[in-house]
Amino acid sequence: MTAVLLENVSRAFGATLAVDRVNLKVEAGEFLTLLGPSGCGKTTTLRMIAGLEQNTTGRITIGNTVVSDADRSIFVAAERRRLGMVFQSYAIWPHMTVFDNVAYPLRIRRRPADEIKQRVMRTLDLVEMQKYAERPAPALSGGQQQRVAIARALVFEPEVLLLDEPLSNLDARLRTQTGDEFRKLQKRLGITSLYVTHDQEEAMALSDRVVVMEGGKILQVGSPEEIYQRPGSRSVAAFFGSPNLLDAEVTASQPADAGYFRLDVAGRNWRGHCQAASRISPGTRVGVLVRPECIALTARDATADADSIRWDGRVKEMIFRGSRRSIAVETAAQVLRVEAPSQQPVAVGDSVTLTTSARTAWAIES
Amino acid sequence: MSEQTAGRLAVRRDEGTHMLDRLRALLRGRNLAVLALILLLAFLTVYPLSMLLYGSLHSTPPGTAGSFNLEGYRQIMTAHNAVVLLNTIGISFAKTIPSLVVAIFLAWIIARTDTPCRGVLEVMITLPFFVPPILTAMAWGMLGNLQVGLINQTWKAITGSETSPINVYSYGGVIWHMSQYTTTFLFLFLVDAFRAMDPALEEASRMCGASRWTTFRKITLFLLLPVLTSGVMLSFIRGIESFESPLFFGTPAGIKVISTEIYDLITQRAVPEYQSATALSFVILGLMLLLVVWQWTVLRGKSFQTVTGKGFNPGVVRLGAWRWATFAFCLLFFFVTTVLPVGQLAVGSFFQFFGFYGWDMLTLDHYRAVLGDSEFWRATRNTMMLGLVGATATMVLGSIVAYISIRTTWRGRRLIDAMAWLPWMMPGIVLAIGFLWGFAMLPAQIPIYGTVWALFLAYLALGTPVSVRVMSGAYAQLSFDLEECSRVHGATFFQTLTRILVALAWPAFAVGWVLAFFGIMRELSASIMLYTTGSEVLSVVLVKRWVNGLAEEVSVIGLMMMALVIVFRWVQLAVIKRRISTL
Amino acid sequence: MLGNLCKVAVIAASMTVASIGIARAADEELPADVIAAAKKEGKVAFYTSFFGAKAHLDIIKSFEAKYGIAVELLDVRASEMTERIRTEQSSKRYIADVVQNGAASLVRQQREGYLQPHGGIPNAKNLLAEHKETDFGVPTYILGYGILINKNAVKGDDVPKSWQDLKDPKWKGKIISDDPRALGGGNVMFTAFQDKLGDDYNKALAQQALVLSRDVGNDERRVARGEYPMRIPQLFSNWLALKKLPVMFIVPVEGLPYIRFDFGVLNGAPHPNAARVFINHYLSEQVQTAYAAAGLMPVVDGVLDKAGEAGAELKGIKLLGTTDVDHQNAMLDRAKQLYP
Repeated sequence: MTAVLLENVSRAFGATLAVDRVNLKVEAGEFLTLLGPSGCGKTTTLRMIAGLEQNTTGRITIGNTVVSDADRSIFVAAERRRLGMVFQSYAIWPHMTVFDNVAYPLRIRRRPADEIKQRVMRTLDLVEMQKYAERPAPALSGGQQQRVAIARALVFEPEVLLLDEPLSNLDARLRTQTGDEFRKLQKRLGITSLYVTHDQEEAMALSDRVVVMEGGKILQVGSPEEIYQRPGSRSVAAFFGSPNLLDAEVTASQPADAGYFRLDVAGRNWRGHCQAASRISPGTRVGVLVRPECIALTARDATADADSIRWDGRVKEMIFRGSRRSIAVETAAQVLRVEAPSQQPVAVGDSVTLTTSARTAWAIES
Repeated sequence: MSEQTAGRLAVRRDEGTHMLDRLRALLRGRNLAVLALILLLAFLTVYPLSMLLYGSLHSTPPGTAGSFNLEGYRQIMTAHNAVVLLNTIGISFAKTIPSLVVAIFLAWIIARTDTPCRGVLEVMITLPFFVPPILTAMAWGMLGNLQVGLINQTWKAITGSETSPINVYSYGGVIWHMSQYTTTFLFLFLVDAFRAMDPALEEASRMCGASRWTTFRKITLFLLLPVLTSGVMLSFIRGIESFESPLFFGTPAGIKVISTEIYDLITQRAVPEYQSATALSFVILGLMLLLVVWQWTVLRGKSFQTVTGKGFNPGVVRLGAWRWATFAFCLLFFFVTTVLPVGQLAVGSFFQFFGFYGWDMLTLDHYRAVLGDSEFWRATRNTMMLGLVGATATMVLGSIVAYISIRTTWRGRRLIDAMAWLPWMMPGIVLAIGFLWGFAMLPAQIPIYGTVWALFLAYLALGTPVSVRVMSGAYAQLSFDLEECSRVHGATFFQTLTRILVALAWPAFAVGWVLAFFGIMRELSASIMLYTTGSEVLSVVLVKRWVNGLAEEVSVIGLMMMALVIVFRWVQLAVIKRRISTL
Repeated sequence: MLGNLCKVAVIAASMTVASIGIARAADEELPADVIAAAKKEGKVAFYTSFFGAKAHLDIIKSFEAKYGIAVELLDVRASEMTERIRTEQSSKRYIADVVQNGAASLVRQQREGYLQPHGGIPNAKNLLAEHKETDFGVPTYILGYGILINKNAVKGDDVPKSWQDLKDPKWKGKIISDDPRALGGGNVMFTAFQDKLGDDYNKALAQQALVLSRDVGNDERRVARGEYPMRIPQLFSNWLALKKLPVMFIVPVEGLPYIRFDFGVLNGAPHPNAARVFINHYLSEQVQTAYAAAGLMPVVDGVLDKAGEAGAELKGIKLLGTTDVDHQNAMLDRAKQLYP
């Protein structure tokens, strides 16, 4: 069953198109993240699902109900879509206590008082906020407010939960911790979640699938691993970390396992194999993506096996980061960035050899 | 909140003794600054009031021999005055409640809907507040009198009826005339609060399943509580002290209110009865203090921080076809409160006499008379100067007072807040006497009476309650993080204040400034008591002409004041718009 | 507001006495040493409760031109001026030199000890017999009050000729009046009626359900617009400005209630000589003529002929009565009884 379905959904603000013909299926129970730089249309997409914005074209279906159809002028108001939502600013009402904040959706639904009490306390327990129930909302820390916001969104057991950058106002450590906790909770409740963020680490750590957006369009949809290791375009690749992209020309192409293709490529002063999503005819220029952490750095002249790509070069810069070293190596092809273990003894000026497995190198059509 | 603050303080102390020293230095300087502020406010508000208190307890005014007694209070404790008081409270209620409803609706339309031409509508809606009340009173007198009023004539012509449905010389007329000012005043107060609210707070409610209307009742109104209660209180208090409307429309109908009774005691006796007049004023002041205490209890322990650091566009409700209905409502409001009365004044100002329109009566004489009068120009210059300097000073003082009372936990902040309230609770005509007595009774070395400083200080005192209220409402909505962030980054108290002010509360500052400016422009009671040759002000020039039956020239001046308002408001809103779009 | 009534009252006073053809004595200056001292003082501060009258300005200009002494004019309403002077006197911040006030109020200020003797005003020799100066007060002009009718609403035999005509039942609820319970034109009229026409007359008038108001300028216009056919008491000097409107000023046969405005010199006046020269100038033929032209009755003889249209109308008008300092409160109280 599809929990949320977007078909050809666009949103125009005057002449600018904030969201451009987006098609997206969110499966029931799935944790799906909309990822992209600010202004990419991810929040607008979320708000259209919520009913806080109206799509100018296309159709949105939640469960079996069409909640918005621009062609048929159907538009179900936000309050009747029965979705939970957590806002970036949490939107905790400052004039109420924690309990009142969480009880609000139930009170709106005119539930009996004892049921409200029971369900609110249960939900607060879920987010470990039970003991703060009678606190005035402004007396909470950011992390606590965030939990209350989640509790408020969950208390009436919506089928779909929408989260708009809910972690961005927390400090780094708290962010990771809260994110992990939330992911556990989501899995336990099996609630369909749509999550908006601009933080790629957050997206990868939490999601079942990630939707990368830019300029109002979806660039790629896939599992975090897919998106990271096998990006469909340079933009998607560039959005995660600072990958090495090497210019190369395809010399041969043949099918490999898992539906991918194995290419022979030749760059400036190097050649080797890599993988690609499709058959690419020889002579085509491609960008070969090699993640810095996938490059092994050894002393010069170490031998490399046949399934590796190899570059020789000289260490140009090195930054010690505690858990690792960030190294820039000048090679005949270009400067390559390498993330090496921090114990590895290396100094600026050393002559080194870089190798990477052909299985981790990924070709992107230019 | 305190726990959190304490926690943050603790963190800061941990940052080392260096920080601690700075904190101590700050504390010393701060105490001095608070003391200075208390002294300034005491001079501006407590001192004139203490003169009046003396007046109410002494058989003669300050400076004249007499004895202390309670005669003043004894004389006013009459059944007649009790009835008048109830009457006054009733009128004030009757005008505040409907005005509030309309003002909230208008503010919502302008700040939160996609009604067309909201920028222009906003300027138009606020205009009535800036028209001198005597002018609109005159205009409504012409429109709504029983015998030949335009509205009644039109009604009779259309329906063929013999009865006149409208009579402005009645309770309804008094309330109606007051409401025009109250509605606009409350609108000015509310519209920026509506604009400044984080829309996520309302959206969250809708996501919880609450309809727009439920959201409005349960969330929006509560979030606006500080601004609403302040606005209601100010307008209720003003209603009790309101003078022009009851004098104009109430007196001929035999309607008596406290302010006209006080006016009687002072101006209509062979020897002014200051003792009774001031005693009566203090009774009123006592009642109003109860109101302030009520507001404190309503708001105590609650927080209303609704503005976060994140920039956002205020959520705009798309009304669909209904937006033409809201548009029409705004236009109707503008038509009824501005076009009808002011249009009549504008037309009338080109005729020799209001209400007598014939080609032979057409003239530019009134404009010539006003523009050719050197006293008018001198008064304009003085008023502009006092207005610009006075409004700025008022807003700066108000910002500081509001900041201390809302954003700090300093000792003495309640006192400062309360002192800033005082001038608003004395009827203007009585407070003016207080200023006169206060300034004149100073030691001879401090020559304030007889100089332009007397006007400046009186305006400062009179404007401060509004400026404090406007800024308090704005500050109460700002989250503490914003300024703590600023403080942590090394800004001093004053830097923080100005930064916060400039960055976030400045739309409120601008509105307050315009209110203060036109408050000064309109102020008459204190002006006429304190002005001297050479420091004439426009309000005095205006009333001189009014008293001498030159209503047409009064209109000319009134129209010029309105033109000035339009320019001010336009600039202000244009700047706000530009700022918002760059956020 | 008092200013308003004052304004009107002036007109009527001189009329009774003004006998045509008697040439008035010429103006006389103060001794040269006084004038020299006045010029040395350089200015004079003039407080008046004849609020906002345009007549002030030209007269002041004539004084400044003649003597080279600057005039600082402060005009406020009567109650405000009373309190400002009291405050200045009791705090010893002497700013005002000359005060111009209703005669009764000036006597009250004299009794409070705020005035000093003016020391002799040469032009006072020209004052009419009924309006002689005292050591402290010098009369300046008179405001007279009559009836204003709307010409379209009150015609032919309906036009009142006597104050008694107002008692006719047909005027019940039709007359708008300045409030007699408050200090001002309304009470001046009430006092004059009480003194000259008797308490019964005031009682009868109270039965006519007068519509009481205090907004003089607006009330005049309301009569002109036809809201009310008639208004009392109407200042003669205000009527001059209304002539193009369908209204008419009526002088009842019994005469006009009036208020006289007097000059006084204040204690501690910083410019006492200039004050004297100033007052003397105000009794000159030139100034008195200017007053008359503005509808204020002069207090010296023989200027009405030169005062144009207004002067001609003022001629022969009788005065009925005015307020008295010792009876003001009694009269206010009686008015409150009759108009509860």
